[in-house]
Amino acid sequence: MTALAAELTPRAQQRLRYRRRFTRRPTAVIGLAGVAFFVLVAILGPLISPADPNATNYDTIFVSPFSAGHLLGTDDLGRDVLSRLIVGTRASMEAGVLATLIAALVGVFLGLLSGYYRGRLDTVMMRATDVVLSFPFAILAVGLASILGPSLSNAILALAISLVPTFIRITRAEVLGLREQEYVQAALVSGAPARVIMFGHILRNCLTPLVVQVSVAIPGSIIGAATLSFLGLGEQPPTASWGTMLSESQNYLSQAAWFAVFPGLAIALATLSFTMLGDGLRDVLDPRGDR
Amino acid sequence: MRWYVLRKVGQALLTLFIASVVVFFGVRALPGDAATAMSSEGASPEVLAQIRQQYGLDEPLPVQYADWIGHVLTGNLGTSPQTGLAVSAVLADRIPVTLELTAVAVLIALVISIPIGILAALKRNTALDYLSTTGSMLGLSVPHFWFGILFILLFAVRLHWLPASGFVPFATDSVSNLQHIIMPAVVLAIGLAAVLIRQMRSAMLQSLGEDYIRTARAKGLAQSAVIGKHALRNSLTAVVTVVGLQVGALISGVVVTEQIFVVPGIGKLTLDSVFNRDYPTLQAVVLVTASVYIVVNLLTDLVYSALNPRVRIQGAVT
Repeated sequence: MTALAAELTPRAQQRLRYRRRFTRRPTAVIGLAGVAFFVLVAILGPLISPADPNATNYDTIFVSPFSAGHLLGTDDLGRDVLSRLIVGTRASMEAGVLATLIAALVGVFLGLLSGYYRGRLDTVMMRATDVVLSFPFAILAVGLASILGPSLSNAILALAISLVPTFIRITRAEVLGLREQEYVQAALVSGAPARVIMFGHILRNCLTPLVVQVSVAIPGSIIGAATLSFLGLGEQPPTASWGTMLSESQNYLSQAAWFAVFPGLAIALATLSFTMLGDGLRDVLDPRGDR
Repeated sequence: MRWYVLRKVGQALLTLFIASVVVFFGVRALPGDAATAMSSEGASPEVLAQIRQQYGLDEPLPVQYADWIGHVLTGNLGTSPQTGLAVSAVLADRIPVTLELTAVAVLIALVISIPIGILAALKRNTALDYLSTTGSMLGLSVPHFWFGILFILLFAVRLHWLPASGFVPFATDSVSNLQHIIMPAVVLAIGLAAVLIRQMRSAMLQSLGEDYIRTARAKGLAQSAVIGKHALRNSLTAVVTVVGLQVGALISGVVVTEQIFVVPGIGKLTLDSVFNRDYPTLQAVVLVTASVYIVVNLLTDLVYSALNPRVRIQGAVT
């Protein structure tokens, strides 16, 4: 391995440097482990859930946690809380990742066009982002839910729409700067088509701030999706999701306090994992960034 | 400066106009036509026809928009088909509640975050600094509605110190008012405080590294004077503008906290109007919150550029 190190390509050396910078931060590694755990649970979901998450049993209502057969107790309908948490993981992860990915794809594309062509297109785009940003997230989600009806996919759509403007602006700002770089000018002079310059030359060099933004947006969307489900605008009962479990728990605070604790803990741990991983990534990619 | 202000005001007005068009067409995009949406369920064709005429729904859309915006600008936001009350009267009832909640929350956030941010910057890389960084990270990662539920669980259900929900106007009973407002306000404050601690810390660190601080120290000024008079003043302006930028998050937070604690403000009204299909109210609430947001952002921009002239030059280039 050491003998090979001298022969490593610059790119491989860079990768090695990144890896060292990342593993030096314990929080980043813990974050990565946490994210891996939640993603795994989301994928395996129904396979590893100890009981049917929707099976009601009126003989076992509000069984306390750590009792036989129900590690985290049961809810108001006798459903196993652990199973509902496990199955609900998928909805939360899906919402966080999908909303962010949709927003990133749309935002990067529009931002590239806006920054590359500038002019009237750019003006229109900036006003459009202003308008979208002028509706606070909850208001936007509420408005969409009332037009399209409350559901998880509409909640994801609302999240994605509220995230798009930031992606547009970050990409545009990067493109405006990169467009004047010599290698882009050289490509222009040599007659490369616009799409090659945009997606080949420019996009590759503005990935760092975008990766950082993605890592900020995912935990934000997980909380956002849970919030919307909590408010009744996301995943609809009886489907298990962390947000709906919390909103159900509100009615039984005096009988079953733990019922309100576990779903919240799941949301907090998931977002914390993504945030720690994101902070680590930011340090690796942009060591001069604020700390 | 004048040109910059005019440009920013112009942009804000344009945004406001487009936002109002979006809200206007939003209601027209509802399933069924707007008349069915605005009436109670199972209204007879005569009633629907009357509503269509009353709201001018048989006119061309631009005419409808002009009519609607004319009414809005004169304070006529329509009537709620569910309650029969004028929407503007309901808003006048609810807005003070939300304003009080938000004001108390911002106050709590500032009182918590400014000293912690300063201390974290002064004691950089000590246990105290790490504690505050961890604290603000938790404040950002833990969903606020969970904090709300845990607070109710602890302070209302277990300890019986505070009422779990509801609201009493300050004029009726000031003590009870504060007892009801404190939990929602703290929950609303957590997210803001988490952001402000980070901002305060980095603003403080930045100004402590500036030349004028070294000059002040070299002059032999006491540490308290250097920090209190020079470093703090320059960091505070940054923090104040951050409060302005957080208004959107605050409005979203208001919707959630008011729902948890059953506080009869704008946020609760928004959700109620969705679930009751009370579209005139929903339309008004969305328009009002978007306007507040746009105006606050404009003011933040202007205050920031007044404090930091470099922004204006950058703004003129792009």
